[in-house]
Amino acid sequence: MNYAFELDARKNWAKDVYAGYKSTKLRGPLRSAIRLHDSLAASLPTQAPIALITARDCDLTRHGAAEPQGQAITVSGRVVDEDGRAVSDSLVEIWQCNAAGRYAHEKDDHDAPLDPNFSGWGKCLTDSDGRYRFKTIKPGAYPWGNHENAWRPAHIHFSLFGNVYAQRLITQMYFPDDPLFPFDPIFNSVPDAAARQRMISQFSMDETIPGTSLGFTFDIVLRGRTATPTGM
Amino acid sequence: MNAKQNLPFEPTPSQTVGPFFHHALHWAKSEDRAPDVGELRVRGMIFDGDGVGIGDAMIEAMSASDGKLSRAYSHATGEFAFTVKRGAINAPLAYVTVFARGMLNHHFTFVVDRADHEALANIPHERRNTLVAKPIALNEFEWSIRMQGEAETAFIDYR
Ligand SMILES: [Fe+2]
Repeated sequence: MNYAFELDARKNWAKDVYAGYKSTKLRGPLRSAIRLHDSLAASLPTQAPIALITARDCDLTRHGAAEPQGQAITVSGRVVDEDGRAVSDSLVEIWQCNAAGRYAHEKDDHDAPLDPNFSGWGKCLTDSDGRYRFKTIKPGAYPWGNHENAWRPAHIHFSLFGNVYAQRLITQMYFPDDPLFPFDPIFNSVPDAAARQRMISQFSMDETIPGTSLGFTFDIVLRGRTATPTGM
Repeated sequence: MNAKQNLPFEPTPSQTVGPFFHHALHWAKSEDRAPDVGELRVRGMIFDGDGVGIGDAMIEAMSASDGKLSRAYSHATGEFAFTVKRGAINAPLAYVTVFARGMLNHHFTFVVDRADHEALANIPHERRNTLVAKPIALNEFEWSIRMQGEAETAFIDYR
């Protein structure tokens, strides 16, 4: 095994046990993952119940009786694999806290107001070119118990299935120039600075809709040159 | 030497699923149910490095037959269960992906029904038993996931 290769591959990936993020201590595997080629893992698409998806699922501002509080934004982008091929017709799920930094989740004990018009979850399929688009509100930053005065930078959680099992990814999308970046162990668990930049969305005037919403773009690259069958 | 260097696009890193995914991902969650004809159920526990059950994990299983997703959430004690269609005799019982708060990456693994299963061929001998489920009834199996320790589950990198 080429050790340099291993190091290179890992720099794009968060550390499993990372001192700054306390909960990783007992939950991150201590042994290296075993490299395998498996023809089913590399070729079988995971079949989620996508027939349940409706057109309004991608507009998180329309899930309540009225508009939610906060800055209306769109988040759009393209999902590709490492060869730049579009990941088409593929499930994207997102979840986030509201503008005040509070999740609509019973385990969130942050003392910030809930918004009755905002649940914070959405889903859609990528189109034939790998593109997706959500309308939502900009999430707030929120405190957490990891260390003294710990705050998460504003983020949207993304879950992607790709076209085959081995492309599965859950990540978080951040916003440009967040002053909390240097202090956040989850963001900094990714060793490589360039790789961390790939989790940050970009502001786009082209995607900004006059009088309505600010546009952010976030392109996502799934692993899988070898995990994708040739000819796909 | 390094084929990855020739790839035009670098992958987006993984980040933890965190503690607040339950409602958002619930629409695709599967109910814990007894296996139908041609199906199997796997139940077990997910443990952290202290041997304590992980109560906020998501365990996704994919059928080796039709690729159908079975999305399960662990209970407060760390128990989980999933039901999938059975695949070919030489295929795993299921392909499994593990997520939880405190896991910065997801972890791929798989589960088989016998120690001499051909899917274990490239798994080091001393780790094979971490992927073998115990039959407990007709089409019912018991299999636990251990994140650390002597019997740390063998996790897989499909790169
Ligand atoms: Fe979050």
